[in-house]
Amino acid sequence: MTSRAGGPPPHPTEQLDPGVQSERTQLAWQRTGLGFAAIGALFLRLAFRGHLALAVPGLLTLLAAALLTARAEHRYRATFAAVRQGHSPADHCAVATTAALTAALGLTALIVILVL
Amino acid sequence: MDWLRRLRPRAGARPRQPAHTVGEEPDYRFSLANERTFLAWIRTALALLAGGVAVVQLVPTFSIGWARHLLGIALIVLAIAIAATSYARWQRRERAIRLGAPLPPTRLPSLTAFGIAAVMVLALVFVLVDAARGRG
Repeated sequence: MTSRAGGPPPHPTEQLDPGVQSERTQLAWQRTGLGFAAIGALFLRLAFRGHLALAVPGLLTLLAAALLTARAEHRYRATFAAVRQGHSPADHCAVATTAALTAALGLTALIVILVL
Repeated sequence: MDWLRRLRPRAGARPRQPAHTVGEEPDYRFSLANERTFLAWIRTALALLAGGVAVVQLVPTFSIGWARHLLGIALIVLAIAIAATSYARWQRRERAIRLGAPLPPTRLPSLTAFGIAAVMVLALVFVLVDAARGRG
């Protein structure tokens, strides 16, 4: 956690509390990323079956999935930093972005089943 | 994200401070629990969404031609409702946590349960209609 000379700092392994809340939150972000990946794969499957336009939302969803999964690690570190400084780890931007992405995905899916 | 904030039912009731400045810095565990609840709702929405697309694209057609689309649209509309209100719900809870107030009541769990139950009953009806016509 303290050695910042060269390369990224090591993954914090210290346990903040016996409920391991930060770890569970990290895993929740990862599961949500996997959920996005599943939807992306579903879109891509339809794209390969002749609805080529769906490759765009499919790839974008997979990109969002990768970002969300990567974010889990970033969030974990940010939580550690915030807790050490006595700040709230709440992250409005990430929550709002995830909510907007999911709503947009829902609208895309609605268009998919109505048009195709 | 202004449009999301406007979806909050009681937003116009009185002028409010931004949620992250009211009250005091809460126990970080409460904020993380709130975040995980939000993520769980997002995953619920994603699952409904996948179900909605799958029922239209992957399930063999029922003898009632529009049956699959009815099920799919119901599932996806439910998913959109959950996703579109999720940020406001998270923010209301964050505010309550910071103020030490009771958590705001929400009708979403019962709405979701009724929605999913309705979809299941409809699916059962369609399957039974298919079975009856197959025999008759």
